[in-house]
Amino acid sequence: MKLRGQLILSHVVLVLTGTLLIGTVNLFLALRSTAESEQLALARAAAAGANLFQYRIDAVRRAAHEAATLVPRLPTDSPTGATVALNELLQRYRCERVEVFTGLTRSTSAYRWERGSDPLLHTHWLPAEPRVATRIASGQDATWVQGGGNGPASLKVCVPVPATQGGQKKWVVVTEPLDGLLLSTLAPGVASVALLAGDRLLSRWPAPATDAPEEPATGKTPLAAAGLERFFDPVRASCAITVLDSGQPLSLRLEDPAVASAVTLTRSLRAWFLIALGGLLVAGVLGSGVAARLLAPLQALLDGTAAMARGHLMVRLPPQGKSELGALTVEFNRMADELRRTYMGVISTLAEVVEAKSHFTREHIERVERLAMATADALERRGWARFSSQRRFTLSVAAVLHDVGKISISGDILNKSGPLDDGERREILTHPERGALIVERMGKLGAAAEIIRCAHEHFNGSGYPRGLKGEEIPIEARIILAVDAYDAMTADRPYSQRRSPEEAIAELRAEAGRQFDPVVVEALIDAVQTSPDRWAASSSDTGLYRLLNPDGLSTPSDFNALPRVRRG
Amino acid sequence: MGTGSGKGRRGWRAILGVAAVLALMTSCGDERDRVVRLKVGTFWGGVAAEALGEEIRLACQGVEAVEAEIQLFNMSSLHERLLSEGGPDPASDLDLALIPNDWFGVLTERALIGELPAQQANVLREHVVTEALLAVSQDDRLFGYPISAEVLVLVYNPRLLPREPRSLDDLFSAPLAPGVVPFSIDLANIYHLTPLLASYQESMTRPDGSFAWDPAAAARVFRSLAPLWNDPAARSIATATDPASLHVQLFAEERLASFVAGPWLIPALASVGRPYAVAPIPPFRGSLHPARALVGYQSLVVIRQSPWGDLAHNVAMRLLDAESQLHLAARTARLPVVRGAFASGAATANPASLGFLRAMENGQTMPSTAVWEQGFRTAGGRLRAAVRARAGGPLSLLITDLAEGVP
Repeated sequence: MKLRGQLILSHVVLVLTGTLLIGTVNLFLALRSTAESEQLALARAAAAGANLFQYRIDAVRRAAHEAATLVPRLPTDSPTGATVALNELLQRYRCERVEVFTGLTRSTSAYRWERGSDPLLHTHWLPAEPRVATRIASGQDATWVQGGGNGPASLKVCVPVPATQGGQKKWVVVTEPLDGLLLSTLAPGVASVALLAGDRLLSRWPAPATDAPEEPATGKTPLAAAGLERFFDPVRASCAITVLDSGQPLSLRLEDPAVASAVTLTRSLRAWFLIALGGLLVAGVLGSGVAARLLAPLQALLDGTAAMARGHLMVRLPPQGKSELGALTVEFNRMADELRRTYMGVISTLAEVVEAKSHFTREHIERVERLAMATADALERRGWARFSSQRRFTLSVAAVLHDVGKISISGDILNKSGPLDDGERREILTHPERGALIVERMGKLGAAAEIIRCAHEHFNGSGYPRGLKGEEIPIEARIILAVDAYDAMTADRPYSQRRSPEEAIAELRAEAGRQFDPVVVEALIDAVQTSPDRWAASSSDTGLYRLLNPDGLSTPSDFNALPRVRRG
Repeated sequence: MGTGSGKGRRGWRAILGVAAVLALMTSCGDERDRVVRLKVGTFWGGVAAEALGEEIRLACQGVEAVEAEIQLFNMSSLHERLLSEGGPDPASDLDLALIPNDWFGVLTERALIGELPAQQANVLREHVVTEALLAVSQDDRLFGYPISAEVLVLVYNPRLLPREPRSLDDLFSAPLAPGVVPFSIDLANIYHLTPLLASYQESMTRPDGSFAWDPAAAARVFRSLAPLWNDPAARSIATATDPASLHVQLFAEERLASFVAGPWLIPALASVGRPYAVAPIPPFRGSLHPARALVGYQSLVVIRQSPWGDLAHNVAMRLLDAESQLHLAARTARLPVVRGAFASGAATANPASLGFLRAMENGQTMPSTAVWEQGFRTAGGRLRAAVRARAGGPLSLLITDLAEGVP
C-alpha cells in the first residue's frame, strides 16, 4: 500500500478505535442510567400499587364490619330479602361477595355477577390455615388468601357478628377477588402485575394464555418483547403490601419490558454510528491533508532524483525546514551541486578550449547562449513552443558547446582567412558530429549532443551533416543556427564586416524558410527587438554561462529560476 | 500561500459541512423507532373483557410494532372519559374505545371520534350486516367498527319452566314452588323496559327523530307487571340497585325462574352451573305489538386525538375477520356482525346464541342520533328516579309519577 493510503488508514483506525472506546463507555453509562430510572419508576409504581391494595383491604374490612352489624337485622323469614340487603351492601362498598356463616354452615350470601359469581370464590369454611382458624374461633377478625395458582385467588376478611342472646355464633366473610381487573387498576400501564403470598403466585395480569407453559413459582413472566427490548431482561420491582393473619406476606410484583433501555440503546447506537461515520469522514479529510503535507517533500525528492537521473543537472529542491525531510533535501541539493560542479567543470574546460582554438571570443559563446534562451522565451511567449527547465538546460549547454567539435579541426583550417578547398570544407563539415560525440561521452548530455549534431542543419534540408529539414531538426538546433548566424553577422570577424542589427534581421528574414526556420527567425527578431542593447553586453548575469565562471560555480542556483515566461 | 490558505478554508468547510449533516441526522431521531402501545378502553368486564383483549392483541400481532393496553372501565366512567378526550391531559388519552351504538350521536356531534377512512369503510359496507352499519352511520358516513351485537332476552330455567313462555302472563301464572320468583326485570332500567313498552306503542321514535315516551303505554306496562310489583320479594329484586347480580345469584339458587338479561350475563350464568334457556322476551298477553327489544351494537371507535390513528384503524379492522368475530361471539355470548361469520353456522351453534339471534331478528335497532340518545337518557333517568322513589309504595303512585314526570 502506498504511503498516502497507509496514512489515511492509520487515521481511520485511530478514529474508529476512539469512537469505539468513547461509544462503549457512553453506551454503558447511558444504559446504566436508563436502567436505574426504569427500575426507580417501576419501584414507585409498585409502591403506589401496594398502597392502593392496602386501601382496598381497608375498604373490604369496613364492608365486613358493616355487614356484621347488618346481619342481625336481616329478615329471617325471607331469604331473598336477606340476599337483596346484602347485595345493597356490596353495591355500597363495591365488594364482590359477602357470605354469612352460622356455626359451620353458610346461611346466606350475596355476590355481584361480574367478578363475584365464580363458585370457586366460595369461602372454604373454616379456613385450613391454623392461625386464621384460631383467630376466627377466638372471635377475632381474620384476613387471609384463598386459592391462587390454577384457580381464582381471593382475599377474605372475616368479622364475627355481634353475639345475640341465645343465638349461634355467626361470622361475615367479605371476599375480594384477586383478579385481573383489580391488578390492572393497581398499576395501570405496567405490562405485567403479579400478586404473591410469600413465594406463591396468587394471580397475574394479564392472565397467561391457556396454552402457555406453566409459569415458574416466582411469578416471573417471559414478557412478549419486540425490537431491541428482547436483549434486555424485563424490569422487575416488588413491594410488600401487608402480612396476612395466616402469616403470609402479601406482595406486589411488577414487570415491564425494558422499553426505555431499548430506546436508549437504539438512540445510542444511531448516535454512535453517526459519530463514527462523521469521524471516518473527518479522518479521511485529515489523513489526506496530513499525507499531502508529509508526502509533498518526498515527492519533490523523488522527482528531483528522477530528473537528475535523466540528466537534468540543474535540479535543486526548495528548502523544507528543519525536519528530517528538510535535512534530506539539503543533502540532496548538496549531492546535486557536486554533480553539477563536475559537469560544469568539464563544460567550462571545453568552452575554454573552443575559445582558445578558434578566433571566436568568449563573448560570442556567451551571447549565443543568452540569445538562444531569449529566443526560446519569445517562442513560448507566442505560444509556438514550450521549454521545460530540462530543455532549457539542454539548450543552454548546446548553445555553449555548439562549436565544441571544432577543437578536433585543425587550427589552420579553422582560422584560414581565404576560401577553403574541398578537403578543408569536408573537414569543417565534420565538426558537428565530432562535437556531439564529445558531449555524448560526458554522459547525461545526450540531448545536448543531438542538438549540437543538428546545429548546422538548414530548414530546407541544405545543411549538414545529415541534410535534415523542417521539423526533423530539433527546434533547439534551429534556434542555435539562427542565433549563431545573427551573432556572426553583428559581431566583428576577421573575415567579414560587421553588419547592423537591422541588416542582420533583413538577412535572417531573407533566409527564413531556406536556411532558417521562419518561426524561430520571428522569435529571434522579437527577442532582439525587445532589448537590442542587451545583446551587445559583454558579459551575462544570467544563464548557464554565468555558471561557468568560477564565482558562479561556488554559488549554484536553481536553473528553474532563470527568467522565463509563464508556460501555462 | 494564497493557494494553501484556500485549500485550508475548503478543508474546514468540508469538516463543518459534515458536522452540520451529522447534527441534522442526529436531531432527526424518530419516536416511532419504539413499539407503539395502543390504549384501548372498554366497558366490557370479566370474560368478555379478556376475550376482547385477546382478540385485540392477536390483531396487533398482524400490525408491525404495535402492542395493546386494555383499560377497563365501567360504562359511565368510559363515557365520561371519552367526553373528556382532547382535554388537558394527553397522556391519558385513549386510542381506541369500545362503545355502545347509542353513544355515537354525542361523540360524532362533538367530533371526538374520527370518520373511517374510505378504504376501511368500503370493506365494512361489503362485509358487515346492514343493521350494524346503520348503527355506526351518520349521514352515510361510518364512524366505527361494529364488532358485536347484543339484545335483551328472556333467560329462564328449563327445569322450572319446561316450555318456552309465550307471554309474561304465562310466567306469572306458572306453577312454581313457594319462594320462587317467576319473573324479574330491572324496572329502573329503560333499556330493559323498552321491549315491554314496545308491545304497547307503535314506535319508540317520534317523526322528528326524538325518543317517544308514551305515558299510556308505560301505564299499561306497569299495570301488567302488577304481579311482580305486588310480590315484595320480586319487587325488591326488580328495584334493587344491582338487579343483574341478584338475578344471576337467585337464578343459580333456583329462587328465580326467569329474568330479562343481556348477553353479558351469559358467562356468569355458565360459571354458576345452572341450566338455562334463552328466548326472545315475550309480550304481555293481549298486547298490540311484539316485545321488540333494542338491538345494541358494540363498536370500536378511533379517538380523533389519537396520534396513532392509522395503526388503530388497522387493528380495529382486523377484529372484523370472521374467525375473530366467532371467537368473540363464543367467549362473550354476543352475536357477530360480519356476514361471513354466519355463513358457517358456527355463530348459531350455541343454543343461547340461537335465542339471541331470534331476539335480534325480532328486535329494533337503536337510532344513533344525538337527539334520540338524549331523549332516551333523560327518560331513563326519570324512570330510574321514579322507580327508586316509589319502590316501597303502591304501583299507582309510580304510574302517576311516570305519567307526569317522564317526557
